[in-house]
Amino acid sequence: MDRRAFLRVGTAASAAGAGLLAGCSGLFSVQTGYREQMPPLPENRPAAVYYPSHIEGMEMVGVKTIDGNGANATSATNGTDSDGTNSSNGSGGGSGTSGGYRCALTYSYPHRFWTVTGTETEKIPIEDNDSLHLMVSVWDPATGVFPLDTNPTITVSQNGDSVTTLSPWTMLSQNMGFHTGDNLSLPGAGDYTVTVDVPPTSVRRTGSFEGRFDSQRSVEFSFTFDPGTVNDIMLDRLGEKAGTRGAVEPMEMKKMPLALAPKTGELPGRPLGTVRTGDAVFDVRALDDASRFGGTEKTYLAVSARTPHNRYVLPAMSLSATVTRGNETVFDGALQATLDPELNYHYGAGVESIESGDEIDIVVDAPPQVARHEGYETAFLKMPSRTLTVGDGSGGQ
Amino acid sequence: MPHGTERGLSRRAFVKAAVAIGGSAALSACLARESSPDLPQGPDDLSTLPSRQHAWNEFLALGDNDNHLGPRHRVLLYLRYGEEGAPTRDDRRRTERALQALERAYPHSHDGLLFTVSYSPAYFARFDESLPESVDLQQPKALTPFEDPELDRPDAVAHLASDHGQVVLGAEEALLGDTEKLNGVDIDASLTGVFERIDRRTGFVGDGLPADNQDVQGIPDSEPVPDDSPMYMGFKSGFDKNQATEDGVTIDAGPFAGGTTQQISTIKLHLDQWYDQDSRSQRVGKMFCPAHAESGAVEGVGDNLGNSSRMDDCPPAEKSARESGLVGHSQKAARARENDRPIILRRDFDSTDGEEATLHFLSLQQTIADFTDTRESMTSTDLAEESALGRKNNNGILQYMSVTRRGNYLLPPRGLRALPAAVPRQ
Repeated sequence: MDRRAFLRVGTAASAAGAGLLAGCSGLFSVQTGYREQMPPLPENRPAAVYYPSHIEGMEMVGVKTIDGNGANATSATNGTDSDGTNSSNGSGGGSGTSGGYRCALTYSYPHRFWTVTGTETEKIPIEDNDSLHLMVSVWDPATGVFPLDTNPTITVSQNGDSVTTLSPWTMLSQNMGFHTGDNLSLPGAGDYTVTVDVPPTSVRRTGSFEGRFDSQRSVEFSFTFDPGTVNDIMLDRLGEKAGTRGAVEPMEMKKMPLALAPKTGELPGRPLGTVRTGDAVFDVRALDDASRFGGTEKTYLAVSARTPHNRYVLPAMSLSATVTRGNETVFDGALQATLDPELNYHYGAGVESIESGDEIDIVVDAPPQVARHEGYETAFLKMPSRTLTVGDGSGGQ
Repeated sequence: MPHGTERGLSRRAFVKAAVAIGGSAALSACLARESSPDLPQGPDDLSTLPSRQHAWNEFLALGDNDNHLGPRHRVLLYLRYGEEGAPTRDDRRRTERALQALERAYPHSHDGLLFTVSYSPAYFARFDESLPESVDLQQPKALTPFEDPELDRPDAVAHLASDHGQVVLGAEEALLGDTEKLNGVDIDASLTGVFERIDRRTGFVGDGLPADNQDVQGIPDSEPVPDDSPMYMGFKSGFDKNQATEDGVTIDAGPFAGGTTQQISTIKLHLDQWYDQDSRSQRVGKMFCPAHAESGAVEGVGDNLGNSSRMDDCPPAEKSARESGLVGHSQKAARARENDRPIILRRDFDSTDGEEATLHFLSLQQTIADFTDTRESMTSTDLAEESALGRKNNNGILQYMSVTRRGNYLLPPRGLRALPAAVPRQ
């Protein structure tokens, strides 16, 4: 595909009489060398979140706002933003953004990552002709919340000819959290158009998110691919720290928020406890006003799942719970992935009541089905069930 | 599509290229290159032909395990009727004569020529009366929340099919009035002056053809398509037990009894991730079901499966979605069944149209609603809502395709195939 796309570009250029032969000498060997530059995987990686072999920077192509009632972007910004100091959540887009999305296109150099099916990971190595790692992030301009599960489709074209189309993997990285991305091969340096089709989310939405993220939107970016710029993106080796438990700090960016779960203290409702499994952190809550979650039950049981250290939302799990009171089973069922303005992305279900002394079993039927950057690929896979007992302090009603 | 030169092109690829290019030049090239199949002519007595246009199965080749094999070369001709309003009796007669000429020229067989003619909702809007209630022909529309296909609105679509590329090309030439003889039979009528050809789509299906034609966008340069795969994605499809029967898709009442409805989606395939990044086990899981991936049930392209994709060995889609975080394409399709049988009959084929790996997903079903129900099962919004499945990630093969065009058609019985009225006189 790389070769064909190059030939097509070459044909277009030759009409202008450009001397293509020089360019052709290296035509089929666009060796990028990223695989060779990459530090080796740390040895003895723990089955937990660990410091990766290196930290990588990124470049931003741009951020665009997509209107709620239209199909096209209304504003654009360009520029590098990998080391901002402001921890703004990228919100506050002003008028015309309610109901819409904001979408960022970013990139780094190609790197290894792991896809996940079930509890298995599949390592995706860097291929010889990979040009960059292209990433798309989509969020709600008003709240900075990511409608995770959007699975956008990207079409890269040049001079009106399609170069490649793909639906990048949903993934988690330590410095960026949730995004979608993939290693991509481009036929050469130059100007490209990147069209991003954002499908509606399939995650249940509650509160002011009801009816939001509900229709397909499309946005277009202009992108100049310069291998030199990609080469210059920061690659910071972590040395001895690599492979030990812990995580690198999240990036701070002015133009783009991170998909962070609310701090434990800021979650609504009664705290029922915090459990850890597979190195993931589950903050468990009971909300006694369950009206906005539908159903007839009075109480809403919510699990806010996040990564340790960085508090990134852990999406795309199958979670279920059993609530037992003495010999009685009060609730036994699935917790549905839900987007709520207060709880952010979480897993929840209506239950009749939750009282002091209740036992709550939380079962991970399937771990997060998102690809992982280095440092996350050994965590959040084997996730045994956990039980907590509702204490006096939070038993309430 | 293979590039101009013949160098390095296998015979199969060359024939496919000629079908894709079309026209008399392609036919001449094809005739010179492909040893001309020595075919008998069609019957003199056309009353021996089936009354259902879509009654192809008994005239198809049988593969291993007696699965029906679709004809290897295809052309879809998109036709616009030249007149305003309802068609004239003369045009109807001329159309029928042109179609009968094809039937006289070649045997009604995969080894000869099989074809159908179908009509769109836009065509039937030419009549004052509406189609009878016994026909469910809906306007085409987007069927998933993440597609925005161009909607095809020709008057008619002719589907030409044969195991011989030059038979398909010859039939097309005859219909377009570009030849006076076909396989020794005089062509005394064509569609010229009745219809204008406004689009043309081509393709192929069957062992070897996808591998021979994988130099297109959407497939990695590593030539990953197995030599014995009938489809680009590397697996067999259309197992007999995973198809509706011809009886099952046939309209059973009203003036169009004996007909069926036809849906054609153009689907672009994006198989770089599929072949370069997914493991074999992931591909089997996503195409069939995670249980097949685990048990190693699928060998090679799946010939060992017999005449079904063995969905009985897979848990229900809902269970796999919840517990495996992954659901297979076949597993989702198995949710749309009646009497333990799928409700659509696939006659789809791959294509290099636009130099992109493409699937022309052509299906027959009694009602268009049967197709929309099946498609809804594939989209699986319900599963994604209730489990770890993503909108596309781990959700069958949704990640690897984009629907770009769609059209719906009524495929009338043979007796009404030439410019039928919305309410034909009985």
